[in-house]
Amino acid sequence: MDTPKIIVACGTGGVTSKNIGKKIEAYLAKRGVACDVSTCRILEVKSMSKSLKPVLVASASELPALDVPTVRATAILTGVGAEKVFEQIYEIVAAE
Amino acid sequence: MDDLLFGAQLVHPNLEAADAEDAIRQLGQVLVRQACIDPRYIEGVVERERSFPTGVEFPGGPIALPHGDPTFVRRSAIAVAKCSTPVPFHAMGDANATLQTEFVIMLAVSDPDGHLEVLSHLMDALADEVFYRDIQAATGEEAIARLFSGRLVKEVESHGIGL
Repeated sequence: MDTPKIIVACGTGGVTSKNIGKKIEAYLAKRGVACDVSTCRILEVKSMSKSLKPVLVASASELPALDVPTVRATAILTGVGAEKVFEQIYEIVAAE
Repeated sequence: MDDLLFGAQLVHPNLEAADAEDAIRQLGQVLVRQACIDPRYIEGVVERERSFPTGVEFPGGPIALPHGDPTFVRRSAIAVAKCSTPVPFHAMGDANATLQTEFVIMLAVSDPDGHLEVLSHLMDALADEVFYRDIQAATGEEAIARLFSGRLVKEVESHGIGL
């Protein structure tokens, strides 16, 4: 089975996306799930999603409608209420 | 990878700004004066803020985190502004929501991967209600800078590396 891919998108610069991406990776690893996290800008997310076929796309900012589940990850950036979002991501990945 | 620059010289203790763009331009000038960015970085940040706002509702209060593409960053740095009157920024998760931010933290990051840890410490500090109350109470760039510096190097201290 392929390692599930996750895309984290942000407005620009990779600052928020990489921060969130690393945290998601760490959380899933703690729960025994491997994943492949990529980051990109929101402007590229539609095309990147098409080519990578991730199990979900997360972002602290608003995402356009995509063919895959999207997760609002602002809470992961701030750490406040992050547990719920991590759980949500785990559910989606585990279901694959 | 360069170390993230921060200090009192990068703090504006009483920013008076009409709106988000004004705040970004003023704080951007602080970064330009410290030779951290090419002035073109400011345009990128203003642009980004319009499409992907950076206001975040932290438990203590709302804070704006404007930043842009690494291209025009000369020296990675964090500039902090305490607003004399709240400045409206739109929210990261909801562009229609307006947050009256008391603090604007402009990030100039040349290497998001390399600076991951210090930026995480920054986020942890901002999410801490006690820290937020402290920076609300602090006046002057020195005091505000000391509070932030204390948190940005927190990890080193907690590992007890020869301090």
